[in-house]
Amino acid sequence: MAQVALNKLVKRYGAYQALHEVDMTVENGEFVVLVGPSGCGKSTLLRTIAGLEEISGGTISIGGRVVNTIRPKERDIAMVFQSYALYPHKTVRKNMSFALKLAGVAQPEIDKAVERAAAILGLEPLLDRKPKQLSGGQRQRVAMGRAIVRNPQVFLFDEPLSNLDAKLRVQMRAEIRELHQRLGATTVYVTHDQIEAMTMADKIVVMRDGHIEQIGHPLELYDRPANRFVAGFIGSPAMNFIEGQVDASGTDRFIASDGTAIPVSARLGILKRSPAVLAIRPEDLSIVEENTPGAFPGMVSVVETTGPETIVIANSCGTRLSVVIKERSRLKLGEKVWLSADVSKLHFFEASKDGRRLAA
Amino acid sequence: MKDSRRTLLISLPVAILVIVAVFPFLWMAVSAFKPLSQLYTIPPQWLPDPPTLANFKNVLFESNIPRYFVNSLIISIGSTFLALVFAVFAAYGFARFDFRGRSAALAFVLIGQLLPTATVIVPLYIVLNYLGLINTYLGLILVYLILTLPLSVWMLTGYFRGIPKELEDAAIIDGASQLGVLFRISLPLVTPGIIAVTLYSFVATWNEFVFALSFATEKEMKTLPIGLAEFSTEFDTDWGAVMAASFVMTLPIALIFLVMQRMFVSGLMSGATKG
Repeated sequence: MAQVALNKLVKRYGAYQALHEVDMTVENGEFVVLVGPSGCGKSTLLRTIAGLEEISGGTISIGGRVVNTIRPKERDIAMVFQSYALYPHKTVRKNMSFALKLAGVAQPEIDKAVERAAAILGLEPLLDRKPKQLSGGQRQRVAMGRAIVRNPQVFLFDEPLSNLDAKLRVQMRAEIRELHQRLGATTVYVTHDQIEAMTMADKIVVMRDGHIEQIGHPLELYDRPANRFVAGFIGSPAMNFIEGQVDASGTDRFIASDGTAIPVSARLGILKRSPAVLAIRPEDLSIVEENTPGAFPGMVSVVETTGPETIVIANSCGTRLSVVIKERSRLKLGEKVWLSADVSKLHFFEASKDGRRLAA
Repeated sequence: MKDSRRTLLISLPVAILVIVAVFPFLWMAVSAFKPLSQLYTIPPQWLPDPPTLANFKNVLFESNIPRYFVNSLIISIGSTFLALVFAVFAAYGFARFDFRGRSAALAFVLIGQLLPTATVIVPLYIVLNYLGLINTYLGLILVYLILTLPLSVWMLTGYFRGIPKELEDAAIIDGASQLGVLFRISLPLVTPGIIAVTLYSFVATWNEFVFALSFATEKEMKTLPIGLAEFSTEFDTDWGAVMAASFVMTLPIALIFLVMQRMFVSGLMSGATKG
């Protein structure tokens, strides 16, 4: 087991810079999830840790050893690929023993390691099958088996669940977490799915355009996103953003660009009269009676029912606001509703392009 | 009703194609067993009556055909093997490595193929003569390499490109060297391509006529196609012998196809990645 540390890591492809001085540390035994939209550099980052991509600057160290120019096989890592990348002409057993065989491990030991990994993942009955005789979930499990057979210092996962159907994905999510708890190996996991990140990570690294936007515990990112991008990326349905400015002339209110007033905390006096973005999580909005103090109007444009909750999308404050409510709704399209925000759970961001979080 | 009409629409062209392709072959086989008197009858006599082995006896024991057969075998196998070795490395390089001038080089490989055979015979003869390779196995093997290598490289490049990059990444992570990746992972997966190239290269060199005629002039070095032509003289053609020799010449090809057909399976890649 080992710590993985990236220091001012830079990756360029010709003139295009894929990673901009990335600093990040994965502690020993930690499960870190890299998340971001496609093209943000998360897979590139993972491949540089694996040694599949050469880096253009900075350092990568694994277990205290700088591995910049060290070949993948000497980095003591294992990787699970999005497409599973099983060797189609080899049986499950041979797929799993390939790395050990190349490393010159004696056959009896290989057999033992394969049997052990197969037992952990429930692959024993499949050992003599070829990959094409396996289902998607089984292939995924073999890919993981191939990784754990080697007992590596670091596990790297590159979107391992994105080819599975929704139900299997949830199941494998739990299995990977369980496996991590059991093996305690340092893990870097790449995904574009923020729910996977939220549910699996000890620590989430949010990336965009080759930069790290924020690193933190999942709930920290959820409760105190460092900027507008993280706020919008983490959480589903996505956070609502309302442009406008704080007006502290009478009562403390946020005036949306269309003039709608939303009550905010009095401590926001410092933000007075400068353009800002008010952000509210959908579950922090509620639908209330017309004469409730602080309520502001909206027009229902979409109602989505998931079963346990209902997502109402309303046109209000010059934008579309998502509201998550627990009770079943009888709202009709075009109906006028009154919305109220939980004053203690509001977020404010700069109106600039970076959209940094404003102290509040 | 509609279905049967569609079946007819498909099967009729297929049937015509099969007849056009197979009839000469059958006619050759049948004629090889006919005595001379039955070869020219009008209307044609469909089956030999009685069948005779005289033509085969003539070809196998009284002509140079057995020697030519061995020559052809050595030259075809030699050039096919060499073409495979070179094509595997070249194609893998073209498929996997990004280097300056790659697409230009890949295009250039085919340019040799564009030159008419007639224009290269003289230069080739001069070069071979200079190297002392006229009337040698190596000479013809090298010449045939020029003939088959370009297309072999192109075919194999396509097959190698069809292998997912992630599969090779996985092997590298597993500790394989670049050559290890090629031989342990990629090469087994392009088996259908290897077979296609082998078939193409073997058949092309086995049947080649013009180069063989120009560069192997001595009896000891001649190949089968030349041997076939030798049955036609200025005054006469021994059609019975030609048919029997053709039959002998066809056997190895037919045999290779039969053996390799089963290995020529598709779907070798299935199961590697998400299908």
